[in-house]
Amino acid sequence: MKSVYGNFVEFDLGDSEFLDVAVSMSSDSVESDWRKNSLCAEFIAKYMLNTIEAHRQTSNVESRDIKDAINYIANELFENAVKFTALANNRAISFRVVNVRDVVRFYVRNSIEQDRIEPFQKLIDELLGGDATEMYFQRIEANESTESSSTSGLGYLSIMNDYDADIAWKFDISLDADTTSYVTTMIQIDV
Amino acid sequence: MDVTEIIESNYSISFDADSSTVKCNGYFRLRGSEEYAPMSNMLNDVADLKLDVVNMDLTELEFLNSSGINTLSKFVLRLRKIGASKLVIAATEQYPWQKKSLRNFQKLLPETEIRFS
Repeated sequence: MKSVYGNFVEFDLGDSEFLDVAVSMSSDSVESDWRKNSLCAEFIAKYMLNTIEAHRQTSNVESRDIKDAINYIANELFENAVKFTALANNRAISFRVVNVRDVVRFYVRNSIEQDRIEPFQKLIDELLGGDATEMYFQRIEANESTESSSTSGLGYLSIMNDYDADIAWKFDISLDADTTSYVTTMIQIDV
Repeated sequence: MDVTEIIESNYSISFDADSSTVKCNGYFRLRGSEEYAPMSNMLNDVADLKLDVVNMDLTELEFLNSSGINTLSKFVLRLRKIGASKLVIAATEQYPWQKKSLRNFQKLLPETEIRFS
């Protein structure tokens, strides 16, 4: 089974600045878990802005744009990770954000249930296989006619379409029923 | 209209009939279509009024997640389907996401006017 989708850039300690955040999901309070998304995303955005500003001059407008973009992307990544995390197996979500020169890369790793892997890989094939803008509007139009719309993919498409981002995925698939499978989502933007 | 406002601790949405304005404030970070359903229902009611102009004030909408984008897009599409109303959006450059994402509504409903302050 294929395990890498898209142009997955491996983390290189070399010339990068990075921040790691690891959070646990609890099955006690869905609300509290959901709030973790914004708490983390806002912190990550402020932190990375500080890092980026240390390396180059940015105008107020540029700083605001950069912080906003990191906040939005980090929030979407957390939201997706929370939705997919296989609570029974492993409640941890690991998040790394990296700044190398004018690029910011996000890595989110979460557990994923065996029976969700194939449908997710199918979605990924669709997302990477066509024009992001076209797909974005197709998905919105398709969602219009359904009562309970599946917004799967729309988060990623909004990131690709509105933030000009590259996205890739890597799966660590366990063939053994007792061991957990994981997926890492990578997003790259220019800043 | 049954519901003309929804007010929660970190977001609100309201409709003012006098000014035909939907005002969205705060942080729209709800979890999926189910949680956005009350908002969606309210927006459906606004669209169904078949007003000449519908104003949307987003100047205090600081954050919108993708499920929220989907919800507001559905509203825009409903306006398009009914074909009665022109949509005018008041936006702000203070929140950079607006410059990036609101133009998508113009693609869904071409006569939409977006005014940035």
